Amino acid sequence: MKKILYLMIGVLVAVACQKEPSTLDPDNEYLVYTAPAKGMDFQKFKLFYLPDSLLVIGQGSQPYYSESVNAQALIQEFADNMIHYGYLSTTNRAEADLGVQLTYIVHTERFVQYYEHPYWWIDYPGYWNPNFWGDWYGYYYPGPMTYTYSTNALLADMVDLTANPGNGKALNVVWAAYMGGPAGPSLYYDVRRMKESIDQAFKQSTYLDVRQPQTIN
Amino acid sequence: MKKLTCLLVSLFAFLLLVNEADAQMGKRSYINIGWQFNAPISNQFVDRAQGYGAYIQSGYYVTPMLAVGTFSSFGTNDEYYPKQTYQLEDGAAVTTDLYRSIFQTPFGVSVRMRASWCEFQPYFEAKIGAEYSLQSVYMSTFISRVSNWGFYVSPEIGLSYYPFHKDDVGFHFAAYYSYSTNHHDGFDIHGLNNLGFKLGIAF
Repeated sequence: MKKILYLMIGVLVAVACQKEPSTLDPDNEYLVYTAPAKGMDFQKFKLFYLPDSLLVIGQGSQPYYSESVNAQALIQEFADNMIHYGYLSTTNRAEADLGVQLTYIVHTERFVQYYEHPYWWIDYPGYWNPNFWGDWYGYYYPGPMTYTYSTNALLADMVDLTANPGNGKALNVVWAAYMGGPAGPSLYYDVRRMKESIDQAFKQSTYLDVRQPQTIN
Repeated sequence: MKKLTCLLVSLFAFLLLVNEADAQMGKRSYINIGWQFNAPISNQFVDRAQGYGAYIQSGYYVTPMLAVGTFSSFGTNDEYYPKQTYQLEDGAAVTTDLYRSIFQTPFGVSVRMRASWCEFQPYFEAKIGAEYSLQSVYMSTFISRVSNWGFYVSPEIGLSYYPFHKDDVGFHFAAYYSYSTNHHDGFDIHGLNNLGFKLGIAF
């Protein structure tokens, strides 16, 4: 009886931890967070300037500006939403009321795990027989099992260019957005999700809408 | 007040001495261990019933019918909320799907009153103690988590069944209600109420 008791207590201790939900994102959509500057009236802004490149952080040792097709797709989606909400695009940075900067961030975590027998495929029926290479028995893999987990995000900042610049003055960020989550299986897939997230960011920020309400004559 | 004191003393004496005259009470100690299914009730945070839990409780019969003991259990209830937009302070907003989760682990002391000590042993038990709880919100790659302690009470009815006459091993079934005073305004938690049942082995 004692053996059974110890076994049960062992099982209880082994499972005595909090069950965590699956790390897989159930709906495979990005989290979209937006925040305006407190008390900001966006009606005072009309012209916006959006650079034609996207700052990329996390791909390579240094951040860099990308003008790739994917970058252009995200920039265009953002610009379309700005125009839809009543702003006008300008290519003259000096005359813009609002500056928009977009940043793409990739973050990869690399995990290393030591399993007793991680290379399960060795036992898969039909896997390469070591005899194929001569008088060998079995395989020896020297390293541990590794895997990676990546997240990516698109950040958007709108800065107020109507204020007078000066030494020691901080540039006012009047709207910030974060759109991110676990990275998808392909960049194409993630760009599609990010475009939808940009739409959602504007949808949940109706205070950005500076269109004049239509009147009925 | 005097009547109430008299009543309480009489009740205590009854619990201690009931069936004391019966001779054979067999093994004096017990241990119950097994799986727990829990359903949070009256809870705005998570109200989904799930069986991610386990329990262990033990005691010693100070009289043939009355035992004092200790208990401990744990369990998680989580619930998935599809994507929606949440309005935050100062115009901020977040759109996401999320999981909410409550982890509860109460422990303390108990008093058990069994109706018989034969093959079937139905009982009533009252538990009192403390509960440590974690409440979590999982949003994409973020977790918002708080922890708190509360005072815990739980009445329980159950049955220990010993079908093997030459052994002390049997089966255990119980149903319970529990309440703890855990509190967190941000997650709208004002006490944790639960209903549930337990299936396990009785020693």
